[in-house]
Amino acid sequence: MDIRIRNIVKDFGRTAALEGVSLDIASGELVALLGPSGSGKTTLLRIIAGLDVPNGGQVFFGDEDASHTPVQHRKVGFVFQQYALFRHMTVLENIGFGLKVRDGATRPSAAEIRRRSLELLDLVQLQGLERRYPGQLSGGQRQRVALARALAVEPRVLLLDEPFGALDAKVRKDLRRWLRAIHERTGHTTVFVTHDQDEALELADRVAVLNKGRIEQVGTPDAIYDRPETPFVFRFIGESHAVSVQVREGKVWLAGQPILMAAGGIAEGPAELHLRPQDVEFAAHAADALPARILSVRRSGPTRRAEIRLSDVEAVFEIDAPAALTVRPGEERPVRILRGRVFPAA
Amino acid sequence: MRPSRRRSVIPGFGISAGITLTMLGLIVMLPLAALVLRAGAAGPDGVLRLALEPRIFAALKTSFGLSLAAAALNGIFGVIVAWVLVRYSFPGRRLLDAAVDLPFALPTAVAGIALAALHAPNGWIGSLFVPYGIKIAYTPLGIFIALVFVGLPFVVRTVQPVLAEAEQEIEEAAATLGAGRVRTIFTVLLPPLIPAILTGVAMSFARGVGEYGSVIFIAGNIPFVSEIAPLLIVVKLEEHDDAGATAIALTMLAVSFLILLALNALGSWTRRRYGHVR
Amino acid sequence: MSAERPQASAAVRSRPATEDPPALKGLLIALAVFFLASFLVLPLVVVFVEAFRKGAEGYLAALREEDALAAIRLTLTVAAIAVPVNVVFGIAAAWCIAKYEFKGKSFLVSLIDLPFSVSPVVAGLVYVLLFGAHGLLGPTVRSWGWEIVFAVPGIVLATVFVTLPFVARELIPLMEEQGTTDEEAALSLGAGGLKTFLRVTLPNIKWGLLYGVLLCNARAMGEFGAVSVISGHIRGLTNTMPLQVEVLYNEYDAVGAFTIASLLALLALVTLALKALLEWRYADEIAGTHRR
Repeated sequence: MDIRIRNIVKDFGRTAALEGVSLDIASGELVALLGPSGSGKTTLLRIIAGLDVPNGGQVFFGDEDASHTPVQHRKVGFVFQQYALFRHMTVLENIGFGLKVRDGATRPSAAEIRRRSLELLDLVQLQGLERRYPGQLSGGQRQRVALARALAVEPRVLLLDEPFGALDAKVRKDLRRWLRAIHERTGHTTVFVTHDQDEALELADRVAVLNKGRIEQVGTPDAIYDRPETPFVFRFIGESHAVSVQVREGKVWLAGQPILMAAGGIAEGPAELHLRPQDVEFAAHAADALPARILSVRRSGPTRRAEIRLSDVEAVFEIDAPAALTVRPGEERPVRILRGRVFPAA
Repeated sequence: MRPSRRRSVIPGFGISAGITLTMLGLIVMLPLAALVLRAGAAGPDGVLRLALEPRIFAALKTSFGLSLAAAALNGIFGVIVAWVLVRYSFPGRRLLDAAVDLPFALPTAVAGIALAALHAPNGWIGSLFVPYGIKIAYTPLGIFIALVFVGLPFVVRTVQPVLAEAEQEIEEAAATLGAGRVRTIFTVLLPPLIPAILTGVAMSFARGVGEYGSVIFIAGNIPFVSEIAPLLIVVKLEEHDDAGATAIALTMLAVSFLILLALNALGSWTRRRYGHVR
Repeated sequence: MSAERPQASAAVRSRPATEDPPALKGLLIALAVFFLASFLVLPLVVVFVEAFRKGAEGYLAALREEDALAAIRLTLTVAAIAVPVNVVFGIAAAWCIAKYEFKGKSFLVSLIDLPFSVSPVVAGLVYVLLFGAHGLLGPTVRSWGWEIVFAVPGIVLATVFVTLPFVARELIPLMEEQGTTDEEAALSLGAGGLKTFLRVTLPNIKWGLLYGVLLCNARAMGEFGAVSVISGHIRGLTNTMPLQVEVLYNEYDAVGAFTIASLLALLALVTLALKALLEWRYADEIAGTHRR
């Protein structure tokens, strides 16, 4: 089932949570809503589910306008951050709940409910735990039960709110791979919310980056990481530093030197150059390079991370240097900027 | 008795434990022992025979039966009041919340004469029922009213914190799975409250069985009809029938003890089954 | 940027999933208010209406009765003895239970709660059986020239019995929550045991202690069943305020009974108001169970 979100506006009293958000999600796609806390990502997820009511805008499930469909009839599978399992019901009763509460004609028989619940228990690899209560399960197991319960209603879309937020780092990585595998097997259209960029980039087909109630960029993980469209996305994804530059005659100028060719469409005048640590390297010669002083050096995995200050413009940032290269704090070393993204000055 | 497991550097164990045990012994244990000793003289058969004596048996039946009925009504209304206090905001909510504790704070004799005056045939409430031929004060119905009054806070106060802690996500989960509001309330929200409700009902029941002051003014105190067990203890004492008074007291103590045991079992069963889930 | 300007669209009107229909909400609030009003508020109102049935003069005249004044004095005396005794017991019990680990601790806690599950009439009865004319210790005590049953000491004993758990059950959870680190810090800084208690522990528990004292005092002044059994109802001598209420009511002196009852009702209202204030103002410094 494909989902179209049109111009959703939501405010909680005085504070705006969503300011006109539109997003198309293709059938079978796995989409991440990524953003810092307060960006509106969870609100958007809850509006898709029908748990929150927007002040304006529409949500389409396929061709059906679901905006006025109450949550009970939207047929969405929602996995809550704290799982929200019914603690007075066994694992099997939890999974079968959505089938059991259906109206007379559409409700499967008790035996059928049991069969399908056991099948889902199998899918989430919790065979043999059907008689346990949620209180007797580990965090990761509860997460799986919550997913099985959401899948039991044969949802048109699966929605997950910070699915790994409450788990420790190790369990988190395992479950991430496992969720991807489940998605490939079941093929549900899936939307999940996360504040963790690694999680979003690793798991999703496409990522929507939200900031202050607006979508900044939607794209594949590669597009989001390699071609950020806004300064916010650049800063939010990966490490970055910014330095003020001038755009003139199709070139980017820093400290009176042309350092990069300016991409088309960038207006002449003051601008900001955004850099990642691997976008800058130490130069062998001072020619065509920027003079810099090394402030500190530390080992970071396979490389060395050096903190440098550009001598002419008082800009401090970190760069990656090969471990083989010996650099010492206090040393003067020219650097060369290899690439970067230029955005109009804020 | 001495501190175990890890040695404590904090002084004062001897004196604090000494004061506690001495006072508990002198004020609570010694008098209760006197009761048991006195009953022991008659033997268990003797106590049982006395307790089955018609007037005493009738009084015990009245006390236990009406306390159970009052506790049941408090179970229903207690949940409604707790629900309203936790879930809704409306003007006067805080005042209502504070008022729930009134039966704890109002001396029982005051409650007793007030309830009697209110429900007497010429009272504000009593007079409303006279045209229908219903008499409240000086009948078992009056006892029931008084027992509802004294037991009212228990269910509210045991259910309230559990309800306040219940996450909204649980209800939302039920809704996303297709459950309607009424079904959500009855299959998702109420079942986890059952241990708390039962605890409150049991406390309300235990309180009702022992209640004296708020009941005797409204009861009418007619033997075999509206005479409660605690009143009969007083009557027996005035008749210098210490053995009879002891037999009633011991029966009441035994029942409260059984209720306490049941409550503890209920508590540990719930903890074992549900654990401490967030 | 994929966000478009929101078009002016009609606001979507429907309730969030977890909100009850207004009709149900209204019905439940009405039910709760009606139930509480008829069971709690009306009895309270009737006390004051009946007390002033013969106007302010009748009220004041009933207050100036010799027996009424004697009952007030006796009630104050009993509370003045019972409350401090309970404070000492409560602090001692909470100290040894909250600050140490030992075998039989949970049994001790149950014992402390025991008076709450004993009928007040039984509480009076056990003292009559112990100290009465035919009681176990009755003849002995009498030979020493002590009067306990049908006298003030018996009333005080019965009152202490029924109020014993109040202070302790407030302080135990509070002191358990606070742990022992503050005291250990004080001791490591060279403070003695008594000084540690007065300067460190007491300030930490003062609002919880006050909360317990408040409830203990209300019960001590209002206790009826236990005191009724042991007092002998001697007017002017062993009648506390609640007992005087009973005597006057049975003599059909409604104004007199309700006048004294109104004083006790006022005490209850003040107690509730202070209790609510403590729960609201000092939420962090009273036991966890009372926080709202």
